[in-house]
Amino acid sequence: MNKGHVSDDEICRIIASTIAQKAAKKGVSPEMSLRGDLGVDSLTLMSIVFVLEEKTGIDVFGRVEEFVRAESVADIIKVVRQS
Amino acid sequence: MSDVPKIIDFHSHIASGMCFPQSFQGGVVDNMTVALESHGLPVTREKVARMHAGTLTDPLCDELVVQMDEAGIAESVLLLPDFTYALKDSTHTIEELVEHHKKVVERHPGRFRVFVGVDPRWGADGLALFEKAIVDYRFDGMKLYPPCGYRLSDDMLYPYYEICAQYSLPVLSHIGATSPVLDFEIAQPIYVDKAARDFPGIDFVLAHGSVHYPDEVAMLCNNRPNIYVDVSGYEAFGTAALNTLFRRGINHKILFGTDWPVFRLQGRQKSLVEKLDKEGAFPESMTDADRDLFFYKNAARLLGKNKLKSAEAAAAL
Ligand SMILES: [Zn+2]
Repeated sequence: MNKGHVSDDEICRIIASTIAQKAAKKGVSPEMSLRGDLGVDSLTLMSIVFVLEEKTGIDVFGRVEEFVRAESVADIIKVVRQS
Repeated sequence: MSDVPKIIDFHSHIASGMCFPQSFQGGVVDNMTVALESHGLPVTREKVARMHAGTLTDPLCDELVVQMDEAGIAESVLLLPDFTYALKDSTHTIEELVEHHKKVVERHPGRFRVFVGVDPRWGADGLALFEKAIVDYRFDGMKLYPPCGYRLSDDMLYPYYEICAQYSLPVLSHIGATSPVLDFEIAQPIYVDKAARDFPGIDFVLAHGSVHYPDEVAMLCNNRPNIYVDVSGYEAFGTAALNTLFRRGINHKILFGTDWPVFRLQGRQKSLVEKLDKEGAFPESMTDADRDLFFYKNAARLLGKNKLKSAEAAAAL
C-alpha cells in the first residue's frame, strides 16, 4: 500500500483493528479521542503506530514525538499525512 | 471549568534521559517489547526504545507546566531518585542532576518542589550533597529507591533521616517492582516500619501503594501515624483498586500522584486526572472533604511542616 493513497477511512480501519473490540464496535472516526473514546493505553498506542508503519510505509522514527502528543484519531491521520 | 481544583501532584519526574540511565530504560523497553511481540505485532526492540525515548523530551519541564495548567495542577513534586550508584551507565552524576533540578525549580517559580535522593552508599560526600540540597537549595524532602539495593530501615539511611527529622521533611520511597534491571524483593513496604517507628517526626510516603502490595500498604497507613501512600500507577492498573483504597478508612493518608512522564503515552495530565472520575475511582461514600484531602490538602499538610521554609516565611514578615 502506498502511503500517498491511504485514505482516512483506511487509517480508521487500521486503528479499529488494533484497539479493544468493545471500543471498535462503535466504529472509529477522525473526531474521536484516542483515550476518552477509544480507551487507548500506552501499549495500544504503540501497536497502532507499528501497524500503521507496516501497512502504510510511514517513517515512524521521524515522527515519534508527534505520535506521543497525538490526542485524537485526526491527529494520527495528520501525522501519517505529513510523513 | 471555573472551579479548577488546586491539585498537588505528589509524584512526578523530569522527563529527560539524563534522569533515567539507558540500562533502566532498556529494562522497561524489554517488558514492552515482550508484550507487543506476543500480540504478533511487527516490532523490534530498537523501535520500541525510540518510541519510549519520545516520552523523555521535556528536560526543562516547559511542556509539563502547560499540561499542569490544563489539568488544574498547581504544583508538582519532582522526585529525583539516585540511580547513579547502582547503574553505572548514568550519563550525569547525582551532583549534576541536583543542579539541573534546581534550575528547573527556578525556571518555573512556585510550580515545583524537589525530593532529592542520594544513594546512601556514597558515604560522607553523599550526605553532604543531600544536606546542601535541603539547606541551601531548599529542596522539600527525600526520595528513596530501594530497588537500587538497600532497605528502607537500613542503618546507612539513618544520618539522612536525622536531617529529615531535624527539618520535618517527608521521605517518599518507591515500593515494589520497577525496571527489571533492579532488585524487586528488597522494595517491600514492611521494611519502612522500623524507620517509621524510630523517626515519628518524619512522614514516610509509600509510592504506588494502591497497586503494589495494596493490603500491606493500607495496613501500615492504618496503624502507623506517619506512614502515607501515593496512588501513582493507577493509570496502568485501572481505577478499581483506588476505589477500594478510598474505602479503607485512610483518606487522610492518600496522596494524588501521576508519575509523569511514565504514563505519557496514556494521555495528557488532564486526561489522567479526568480518568479518575470517569472510571469510578471515587466511591459514592466519599465526601468532598475527603476528595480535597486526596487532591491537595494531605500534600499541603505534609509539605507545610518544613521548618526551613516556615522559618523563612516568618523572617519575611
Ligand atoms: Zn516515579
